[in-house]
Amino acid sequence: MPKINFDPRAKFLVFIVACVFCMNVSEPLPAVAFGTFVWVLLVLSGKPRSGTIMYLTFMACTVWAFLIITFTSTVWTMPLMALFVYGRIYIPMIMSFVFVFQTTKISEFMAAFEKIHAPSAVIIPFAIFFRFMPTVQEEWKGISQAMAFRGIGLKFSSIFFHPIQTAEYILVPLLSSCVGVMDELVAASLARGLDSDKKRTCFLEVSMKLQDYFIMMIALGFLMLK
Amino acid sequence: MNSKKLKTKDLIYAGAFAAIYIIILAIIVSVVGIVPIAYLMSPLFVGIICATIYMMYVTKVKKFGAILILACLFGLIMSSSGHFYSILGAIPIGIVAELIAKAGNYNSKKMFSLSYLVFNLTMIPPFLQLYLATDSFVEVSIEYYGQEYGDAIGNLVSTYGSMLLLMQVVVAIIGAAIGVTLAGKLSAKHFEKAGII
Repeated sequence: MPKINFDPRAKFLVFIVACVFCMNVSEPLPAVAFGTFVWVLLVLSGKPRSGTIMYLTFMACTVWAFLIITFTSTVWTMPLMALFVYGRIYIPMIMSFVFVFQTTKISEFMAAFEKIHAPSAVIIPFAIFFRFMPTVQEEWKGISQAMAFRGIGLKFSSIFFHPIQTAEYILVPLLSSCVGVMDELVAASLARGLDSDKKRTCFLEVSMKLQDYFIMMIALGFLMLK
Repeated sequence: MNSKKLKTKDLIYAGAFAAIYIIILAIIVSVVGIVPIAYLMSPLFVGIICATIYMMYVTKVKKFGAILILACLFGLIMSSSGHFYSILGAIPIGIVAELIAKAGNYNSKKMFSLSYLVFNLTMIPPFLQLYLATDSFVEVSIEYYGQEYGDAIGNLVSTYGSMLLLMQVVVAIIGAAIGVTLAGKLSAKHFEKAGII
């Protein structure tokens, strides 16, 4: 299937709408409609596998949350309910996050936003912020595996009885390795001349096309619907 | 060369540290958020844990604007996830924290610590919705987490009201104070030795 390349600005609008929409919609039906929309976008922009997995998880969470809230609601189902509701709220947001940041290169992203004259003090931290989220998650995964390997894995008892020690076990390796990655990022950006004061030129042709306006309209439509 | 101005390098650090800060914060809040009273206490836990990240960031980027950028990113992300008051609170808090750090000439640990006590108040605005529009907040919680959870939160707020808000502020400052002490210990024990700072 041919990949469609959406404009980063249109993608970003979808992401913002996803954040606002998912946090404010409590009925299942509009949430499902929006989830389907983002899933279609993910499939179109070349992420069919991970997109479908997330979509199915999202649907399962929505259905279970709906069943629990209609049939039983007691103290005991509360944590379970919270889990499913988290899934229902956050999975579409994660999907749209993947849509924006894993199908767009950082340089493409920056070029698009430079075109609407956003200052670099805004673009760079923002772009790096989103570029860095997956990195932190990866490091986190590695650290928790290493901790489990040494027999100090994250358990409820360790959090409850030795909170400070647990925090130390997590924070120190996390910060150390992340600072390493940051230094590499800085070096790479200096090598690419991001530090220069001159206006950057761009090889990519960045412009809004029909499909971009189309998905922006749909996204805004969802916002109205809410 | 003007070394006082934020350069690309510093902006990269700002974005990256904001990512770490917000991910850790999200993990803490979603873990403690399962219990209503612990959810209201989350500024305490966030203060304790995130202080280390903040202190590392400010010692790495000692320039005017760094703390403000962190606060703005924080506010934007929190606002975009449904807590609309966050950005309104985050900007003035960021400016005050920035000025405190500037008063110490970006060189004094004491002033950095003091600025974190202020900075951790960014955890309060996301809760303002709870006090200003209690009914709708409780309604949403009931829809999200079920009757029990929503009632528990609603009862807490209606019984204690503004006392609860005051307590959250106090707790945020206490959490930040504990966190800053912890950060000092950790950086002396690990980061300074390893030459990271």
